[in-house]
Amino acid sequence: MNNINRKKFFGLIGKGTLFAAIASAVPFKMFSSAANASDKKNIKIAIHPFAVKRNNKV
Amino acid sequence: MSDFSKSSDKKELWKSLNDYNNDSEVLKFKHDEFLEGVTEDFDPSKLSGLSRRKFLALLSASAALTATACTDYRDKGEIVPYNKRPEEVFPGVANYYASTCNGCREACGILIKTREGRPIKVDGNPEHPINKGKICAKGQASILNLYDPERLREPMAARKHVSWKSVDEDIISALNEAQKNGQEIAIVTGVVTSPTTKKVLDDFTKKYPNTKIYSYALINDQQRRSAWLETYGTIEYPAVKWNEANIILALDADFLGNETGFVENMRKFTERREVVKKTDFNRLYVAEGRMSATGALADYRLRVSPAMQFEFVMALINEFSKRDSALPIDADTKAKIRRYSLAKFYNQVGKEKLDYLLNDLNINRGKSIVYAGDTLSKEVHAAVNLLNELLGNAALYDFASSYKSLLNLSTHKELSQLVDKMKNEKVGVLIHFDSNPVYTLPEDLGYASALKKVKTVVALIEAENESSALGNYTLPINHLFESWGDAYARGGVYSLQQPVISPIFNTRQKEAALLTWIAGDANAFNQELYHNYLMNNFNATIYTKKNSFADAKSFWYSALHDGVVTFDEKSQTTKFNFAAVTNLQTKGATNGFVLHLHNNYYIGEEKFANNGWLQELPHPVSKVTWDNYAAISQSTAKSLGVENDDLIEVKVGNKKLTLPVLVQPGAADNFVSIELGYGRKVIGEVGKEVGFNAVLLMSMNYDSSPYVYSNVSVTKAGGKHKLASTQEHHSLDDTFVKDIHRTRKIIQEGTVERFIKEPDFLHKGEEEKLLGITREHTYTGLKWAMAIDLNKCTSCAACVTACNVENNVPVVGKDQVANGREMQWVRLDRYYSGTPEEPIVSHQPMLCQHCDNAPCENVCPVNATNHSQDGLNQMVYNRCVGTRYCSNNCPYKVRRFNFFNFRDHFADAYYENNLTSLVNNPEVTVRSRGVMEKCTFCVQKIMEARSNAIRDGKELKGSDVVTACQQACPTTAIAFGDSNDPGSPVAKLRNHDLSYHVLEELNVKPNVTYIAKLRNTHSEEIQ
Repeated sequence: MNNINRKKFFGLIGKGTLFAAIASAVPFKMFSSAANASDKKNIKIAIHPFAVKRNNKV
Repeated sequence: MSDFSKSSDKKELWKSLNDYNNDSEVLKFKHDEFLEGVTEDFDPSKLSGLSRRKFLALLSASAALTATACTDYRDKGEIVPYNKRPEEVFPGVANYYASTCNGCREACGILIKTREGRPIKVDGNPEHPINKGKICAKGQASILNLYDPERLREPMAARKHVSWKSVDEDIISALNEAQKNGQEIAIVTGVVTSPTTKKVLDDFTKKYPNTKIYSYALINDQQRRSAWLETYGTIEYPAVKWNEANIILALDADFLGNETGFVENMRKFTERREVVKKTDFNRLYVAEGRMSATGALADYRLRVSPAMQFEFVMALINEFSKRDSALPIDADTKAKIRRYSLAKFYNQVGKEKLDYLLNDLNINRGKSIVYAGDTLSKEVHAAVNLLNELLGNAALYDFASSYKSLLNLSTHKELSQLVDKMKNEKVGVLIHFDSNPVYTLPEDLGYASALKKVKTVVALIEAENESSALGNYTLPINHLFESWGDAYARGGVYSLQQPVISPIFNTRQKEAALLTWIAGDANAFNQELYHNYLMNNFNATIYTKKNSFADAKSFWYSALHDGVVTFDEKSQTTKFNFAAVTNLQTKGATNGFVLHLHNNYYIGEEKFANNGWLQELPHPVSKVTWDNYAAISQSTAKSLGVENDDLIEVKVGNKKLTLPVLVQPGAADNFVSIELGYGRKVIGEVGKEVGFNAVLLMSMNYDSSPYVYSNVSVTKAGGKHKLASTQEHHSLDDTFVKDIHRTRKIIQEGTVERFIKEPDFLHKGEEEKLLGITREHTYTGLKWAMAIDLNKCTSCAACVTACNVENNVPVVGKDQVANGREMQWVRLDRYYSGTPEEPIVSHQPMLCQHCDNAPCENVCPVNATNHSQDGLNQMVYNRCVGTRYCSNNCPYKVRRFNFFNFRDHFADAYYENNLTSLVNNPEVTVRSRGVMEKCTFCVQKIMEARSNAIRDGKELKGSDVVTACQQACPTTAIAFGDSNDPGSPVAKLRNHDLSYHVLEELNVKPNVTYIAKLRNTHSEEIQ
């Protein structure tokens, strides 16, 4: 059986995580998230200041 | 070749030739128990270098990789509490604002529900005397138009974004120049129902005296108004007291489907279809060429082509004049009408039906009504007015609530003159005032080509259309929910329209644009320009008229709060002008086909063509979505050699259109009907090139009506166009078997005569209560149930649309609908019985039945669907893993599966934009892919009512909850509440003699009860 000590084990985990982070879509999605966020600035929702509310609902 | 005969051992069974020849290897194989190499010693050095630990480490790393790759890192936005909360806004509590719908010319009162300032739902205004809290499917779905990503956002000049100020300056300059040069300034608008808008147009004309206003609508009631002008001296025709009519004869009049005042008509008509109160049922005769929604509800249906309606009415008048010499018809007229005979209709309609009709109209003089459709000619309307006058049916006219006309529709002559002026460059400025004449006007008018000769063409519209595409300036206007306005569509009723949200984009109120140009100064505009103008006009007219004790400001706020001001209007005295009808005649139908162009049900003239909810609503009769078609009868299809989806060419003169066929049971022979409003070329992605543009077949030179054409040629064109119809999706039976819905008692019906004689006929002789194999659960507390009265359901689909809006039901598109994957939680099943020529149509809303013994609950492997203590069949979306076993087991086929992430999966990502997602109701979960969904009995409303009851220290009652479909139904066909409360409407309906459950024999104990439909025929059996 191959011997694996704690150092090697955590080293392997670390390498795997690093690989996953680099190769994954995180960087791409982060960039696209920034691009999408800019569109939201155009939508503004504000109650009309002169609208008269009704007290009872339907 | 081996000589098998020479082998020493003769074998009867062998697996191979080697075995047969006793090969040594085979013999060794048979001798050894284990294969070679199995019993050798284990040598670890020969194993791969991958240890179990290493394998697990790599497995977890790849899982981490997958998890990060699949996670959606997009910023979903922030939830931030108010630093300074707006006075009216309580997070989680909805506000309601009264306003007026502008989806059509009816101007129904609406209540707009907002959450945190965002409109999310539209319902009818209960205070409005005309629609009384109900609106149609278009009104319900109009919320999606506010959040249409393809709305115009900025003003454009020569297809480039510009500022409002520069546009104002340019247009003011152009107007002044046109005025100076003596050129006409033309404003082309639709139907004007707003008195204040009319005043703005008048003020504009005062400022620029060369102005001429043209009003035109594709679907209009001009024929009716012309007839009323000639016969009664007024273009403002009255409403009809449908609730007082014992007998109704509708001539190609879809007064319950999509014609003038249909929301009010439905309510009034179904007042005489009450089985609980046991009122005197009315009887409906419908004489039509196509199968309309009203025709589907008829007690007697007569197949009469619209080209023959004039002869039909005159033949009826002739019959009555023969029976009753006291009728006030002069001898000259009598002689002229003698040539019209009902005998001509015996073959196609049947003498028996005609005898019934004549007798009923005769016995019920003064309590019946004959009503012609909007698309029929002026002559037919005049003849109908004569018939009603002779029978004393004018007593059912309600002149106090007449249909107003603030601005007369332009005649074809006036429009032709406009086009001539345009061609001769005598029009300097042309303003499309929220209109689209390039699409709606007949092509032979030449409007589109004449437009190129006009120097300045301005379009004031919400979204790009065919007319704005040919203009210089495209100016975006506010949506209804962003606009001020008013309406005076009916006598005695003045409705107000108020904005509930500040304009989302850089749009402007269209009247404010005109006011700015009237002022002649670009700086004159401000956001409250039209608000102040409207208020001043209101004070000068309505406030003065009402003579209220309150001051003007208080009265104004009160009017905005209510949404409507009513006042007594003197009903005008009218006298029938017999001279107008002495020379009535039309060109009768000749050879060839008859073409009938008519209004569609859900997308209107052009406002709603880009609305996905409405495009996906199944047609009330054919159940086709996302398309229009040529509806023809079965025998006509056989003679043409076509079937469903085949393309045919319809030719009117030199105009032709190729479109698919739909074989429509009940349609007249040699007759084609096509809906208008489709085939748009310049519109958003949703509505682009959906359907076929039947306006291309319209002509300025028509015989009697711009909607009915004779001598039409119809030929098979070759090729197919698939129509996405839902009529055979979610069938409760495997195959389409004739009358299966009756034999399996999915539809149970009777006649009024039988019900009067034998009230318990429906359940007489039925077997005793079904026994179950499990112990039944007893519901002692509140138990939710629903009852649907099929006598009142008109299949208008307001409930379907309301449910879509309330519950965030996605739009899936034509392809998915064709695959049976439409997502609407409630569907309107339509069944035919009888013969293809004379079908009997039955409607049935079908939704989750919330069964007590639900077969879907037992089979869910993860318990994602279960039953609540108050009788609801619940769905836990985040437990669902998408096995679809529940849908498989559901006998009603009411479960809907999200095969795709309809919100952001599709390439065009209809929902994947920040604007459209605002339409979602925050009170309801937005479901993702792989999850089953279905009707929840509006559990969010139940929870809200429960919270309010706890807060108020009261007990929750069934009447505290009104489901979206119940709220929307114009005929109050749906009752919902506590079935354990014997006084509740739903409990009374459950115990009614006519109540039944669908597929009761399965013993699933559904909690939706149906009230069997009664047909008011002259027999006890349904024929």
